[in-house]
Amino acid sequence: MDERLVAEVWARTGRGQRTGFGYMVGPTLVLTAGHLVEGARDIDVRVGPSHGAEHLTGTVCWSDSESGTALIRVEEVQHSVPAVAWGYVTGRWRRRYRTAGRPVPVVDSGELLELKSPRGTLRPLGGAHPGILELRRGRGSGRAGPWTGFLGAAVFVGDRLVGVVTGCPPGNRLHACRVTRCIEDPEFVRLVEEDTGTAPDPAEVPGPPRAFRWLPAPRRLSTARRGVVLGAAGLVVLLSLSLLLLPDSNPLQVALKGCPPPTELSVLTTPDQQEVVRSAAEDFSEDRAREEMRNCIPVRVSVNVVGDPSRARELLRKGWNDLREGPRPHIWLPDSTADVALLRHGRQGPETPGLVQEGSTRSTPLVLGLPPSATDVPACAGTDPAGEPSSLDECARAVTEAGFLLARPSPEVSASALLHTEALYSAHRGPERNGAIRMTEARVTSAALDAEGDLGLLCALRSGNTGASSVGVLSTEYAVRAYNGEDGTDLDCGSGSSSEPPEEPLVPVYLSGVPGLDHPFVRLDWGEDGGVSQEADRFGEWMLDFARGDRPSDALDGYRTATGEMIGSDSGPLRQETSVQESNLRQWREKLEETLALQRDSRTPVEVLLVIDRSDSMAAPGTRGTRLENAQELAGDLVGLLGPQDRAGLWAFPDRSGENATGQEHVLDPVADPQRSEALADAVGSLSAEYASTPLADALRDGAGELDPCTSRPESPEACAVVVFTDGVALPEPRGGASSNDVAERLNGLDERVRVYVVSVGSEGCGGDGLLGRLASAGVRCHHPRPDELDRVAHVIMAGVRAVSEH
Amino acid sequence: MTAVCASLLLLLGTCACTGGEDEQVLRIALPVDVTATDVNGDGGVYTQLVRRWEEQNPGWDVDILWLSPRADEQRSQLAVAMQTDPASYDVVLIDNQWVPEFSERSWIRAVDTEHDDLAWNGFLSRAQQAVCHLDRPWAVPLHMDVGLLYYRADLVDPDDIAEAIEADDANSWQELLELAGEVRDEHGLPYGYTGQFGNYEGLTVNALEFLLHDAAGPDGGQELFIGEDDGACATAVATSTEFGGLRPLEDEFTHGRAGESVIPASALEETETESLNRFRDGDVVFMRHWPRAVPQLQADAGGTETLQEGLEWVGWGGKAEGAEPAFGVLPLPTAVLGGNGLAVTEGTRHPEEAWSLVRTMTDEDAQEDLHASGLLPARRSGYQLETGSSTDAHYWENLRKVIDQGYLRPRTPYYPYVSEVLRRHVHLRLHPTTPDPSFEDMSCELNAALEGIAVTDGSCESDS
Repeated sequence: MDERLVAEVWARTGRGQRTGFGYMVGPTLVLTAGHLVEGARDIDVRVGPSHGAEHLTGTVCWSDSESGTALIRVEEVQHSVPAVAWGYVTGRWRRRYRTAGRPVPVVDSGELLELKSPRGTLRPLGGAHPGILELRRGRGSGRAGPWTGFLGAAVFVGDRLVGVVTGCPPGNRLHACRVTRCIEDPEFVRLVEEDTGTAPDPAEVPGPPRAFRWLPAPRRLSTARRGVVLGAAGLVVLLSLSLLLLPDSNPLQVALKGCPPPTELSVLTTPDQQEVVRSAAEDFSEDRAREEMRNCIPVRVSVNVVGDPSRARELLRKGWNDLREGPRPHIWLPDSTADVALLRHGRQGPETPGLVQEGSTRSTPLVLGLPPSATDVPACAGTDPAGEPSSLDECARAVTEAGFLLARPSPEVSASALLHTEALYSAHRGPERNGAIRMTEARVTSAALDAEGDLGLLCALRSGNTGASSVGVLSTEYAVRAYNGEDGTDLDCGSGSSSEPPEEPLVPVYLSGVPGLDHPFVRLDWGEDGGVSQEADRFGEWMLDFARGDRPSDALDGYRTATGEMIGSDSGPLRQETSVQESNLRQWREKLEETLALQRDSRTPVEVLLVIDRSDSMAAPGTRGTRLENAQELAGDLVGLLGPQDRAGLWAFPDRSGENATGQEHVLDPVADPQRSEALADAVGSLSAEYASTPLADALRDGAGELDPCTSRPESPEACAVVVFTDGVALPEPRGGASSNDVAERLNGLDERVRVYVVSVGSEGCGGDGLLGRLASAGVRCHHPRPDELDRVAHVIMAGVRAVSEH
Repeated sequence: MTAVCASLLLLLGTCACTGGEDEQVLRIALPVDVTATDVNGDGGVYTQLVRRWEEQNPGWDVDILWLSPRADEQRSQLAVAMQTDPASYDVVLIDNQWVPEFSERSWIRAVDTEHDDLAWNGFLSRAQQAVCHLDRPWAVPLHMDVGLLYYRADLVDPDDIAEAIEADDANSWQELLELAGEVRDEHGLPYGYTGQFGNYEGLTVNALEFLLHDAAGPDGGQELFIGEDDGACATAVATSTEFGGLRPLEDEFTHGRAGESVIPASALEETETESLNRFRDGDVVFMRHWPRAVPQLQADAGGTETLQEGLEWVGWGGKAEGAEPAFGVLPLPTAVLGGNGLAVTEGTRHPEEAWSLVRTMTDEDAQEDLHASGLLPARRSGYQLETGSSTDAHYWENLRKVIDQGYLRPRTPYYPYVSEVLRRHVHLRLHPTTPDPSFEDMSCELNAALEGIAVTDGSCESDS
């Protein structure tokens, strides 16, 4: 409070004169009580210490009858008015206040009795009317006489102006209107801003020290409040009704009721981006809270994934009609504008939302990550981001000829793999193209590793049996840096994996003519925004700031800005950054769909026999749902990786012949037709775990026998696989039927194009002396995926089968 | 002729519009039913209850909209839908933790507890409190959940467990973990105790069970969260807390020597599924889990084909009769409650029918169905059924007592954020590789979260 800014106000009306106080809130503006100046013909204002007060003439330039406040504009500009600290108080704890008025002498028969000057305590939530502060006069205020002389006096808590005295009811209290009520009026804000150059921006007056906040004030108050509420029930009803009429985010509501629960913003992204986006979303929520009164969190961003990008596109295409997949998103953050091209110009349904692409949130170039020893290959010399890039096709060919193996995520489910593959295929034209593409496919899948995304593939490389020193990956610069653990990035492969950086890091080879991932921000227009459009816009602006390099954040370390600068590192800028352009989405969609078709056609056909255990133990809990449900989900994943030229069938065991059954039911014979996926999904989904026996070894022996030799199968597949999903057997060897030795005998001499897999969906692992361990020793390829590896199992198996068929 | 056609078309149009307005359909949002027998979610107890109401109300249909099986996604789905259109659903099944938020946002209606057909007084008092916000209930309790202590009855005497827990009430968790270590060593098991310590809602619940026990103290006088009187929301963390309840866990995870830990280190990444698998595989003496694990373990023992021979069920506090593997359950030193309630939305166009559906789904017959399907009823009558063995009756009777003594999680409109902040700090405290976190920061951030505000840069650090 600045004593120099205290103003005495004389307002003359036709019936006399009223006196009170005001406070200079700008070079020409005095804030005071409306009742004081209401109907005044002349207003005289005296500003400054009483002994040298300057007399000014004023006129009312703004008043608000509801709040009982007014602004007087004085004719002469006061040049030495410092900025006013506007404020508000919240909470249930009492605060000390002072009024900005001069002490008023109380004189009786010429004798000075006392000097009245209101001060004391106020309780922010104590007023019976919304927006009114109830001021309790303390001992130093004076006792006698009326208090109307203090109308218009400014009320300070600490150094912040929080109210104006607007009422002097009988008793020990004064009423003050909160200044936040004035600030709700845009005209008031405009006048103050014009006068001072700054709009009033009230800040919360800090509460009592933390030590006092721990005191059980809320509980004591809760009991006390009950009494007050009962005593003034009618007034509380009025208050409640008034509050209901105001929006929750209104400053008054916030001051009186606390923060409203945050708006829910739903974001859909990819598994590779989930952790990064989640971390950025937390930063965004906190940044937004800083802009809000009391730092209320105005928005909560839920970041969800629904599996691979093709599944996300499919759900969006169909209007997100299955809520079991997660909340319908407001925002889509795919890996690349290529995803937008495939959705926007693909088959859209009537329920497909409108797509509003708002730009790139960050970028990362596509690279070929190679072991250090492979970078000696001249065709792969483009390891300097600022230097000359290499040709992907030439480098891939050269390193495989030098004895290295390559791996790539599935193009159907990975934008980066699709763009890599498009670049590889487009290097070949003319009559030899199909042969060249088959050779290319053989090269880039030679490591027999597969996964849904770039990070998943590198996890597979880290945990796989293939020596990492001999394998290169088609990946992104960001993923390679995460694999290497560079500059704070990290590759999280789940609880069972080492988080230590690899002994031999991968070296990124930068590629010419291959567009990078641009991670676009896409608003989804469902025809109704649910009141979230403002927050969605702000999140968009916030994320796009990254692409401009305006908002450094740990969350995005390892990515690059739109101009190619590395975020969170001094690593050099990128020589050349390209991405799929929004302006030619139709051409990109055609190119990418052609690539997918060529990739499917280039594959040699394979046959897969799915065999599912339906013994009653499969009804026990698995990693997600029951063990049978896990098996059904994994079987579905496998079917999804098959092309139109491939064949798949389904067996279930035991058959229905009784308690000691050892046979299998041939549910669906291997077929290759467009309806296969649906038929298989129906057949797999119809299985139930209700049978007594588990003739696992019989199923493996008979399944392997069915496919042997692979080339004798209809349409001569190039590779065959029997994949058994089971939770194992209680005993090391079954009581009846085939044993692990029988399986070993069957596998001995098996056509090398036939692979036999077991996937354990229970708790029994592939080692030890159990049946699964014995089967693994007999030559069965056994997988016992951890929860975080479930999504990779189907890819790993299919990569192995494809490797057999193409090499 | 044209005029006739036009009139007919107009009439048809009118009929169509009228038909739309009078459509006798209720929309109910339900999480995927854990008791369902069909992959589409049908065949479980929820569907059964809904179909019963349809039979009682001919001409009316109920559309069930299944939500994600993951709780955080369910809340997000409902929030997104209700923000867009408060009439998206007529009835929603919500986690009790969301009642304050949904009530504050005016998405759901207060319950008329005086309605004759509701029989409000028949609900467990904890179930009533769990759906209350600002002195009023906003949902009708459907079912409850509570943490239990599972023990290997063939390895440890339940009297020893009770003694360990009750001998020094303030240190019950410590005593229990020590007993777990002793039994583990005696019988050569890999570990003594496991729970759900992965960084998800399970960690919030497991940590609160340690924290609330410590805060309550031997005389149960103090609370961890203050301000919850009269159904109000938690507003702050108690002044004196240093989160000392976490110390037994901190000692285990951060100070335990390799090979000597009672709790497996990998439990920091595990959920209900992994802990149940550990227990059923014979890796641990004790497990903290929900009651739904009882029928799952019983099914193992009853099945003809399991990996293990199965654990025989000895009931509540039972003793094994021989050396065969067996399990029983007892109360945890402190248990946290879960549960769901049915709420009628503020935007429903059919409030009478919506309330009728809710009452049918929560009446005494429905509670019997919930009991039969393995879910914990919210009414007292659901625990007093005369069917089943005396072991079962004893089990259900004690289950009800444990619910009566269970603790509610903090009720606040900002619960998702509060839970995230709590488990972020607990995760840091239990993780051996993180720097020593301060409890002042934890208090400060929790207090901010309980008020729905963000901790801005440095505002917590300056106090610590």
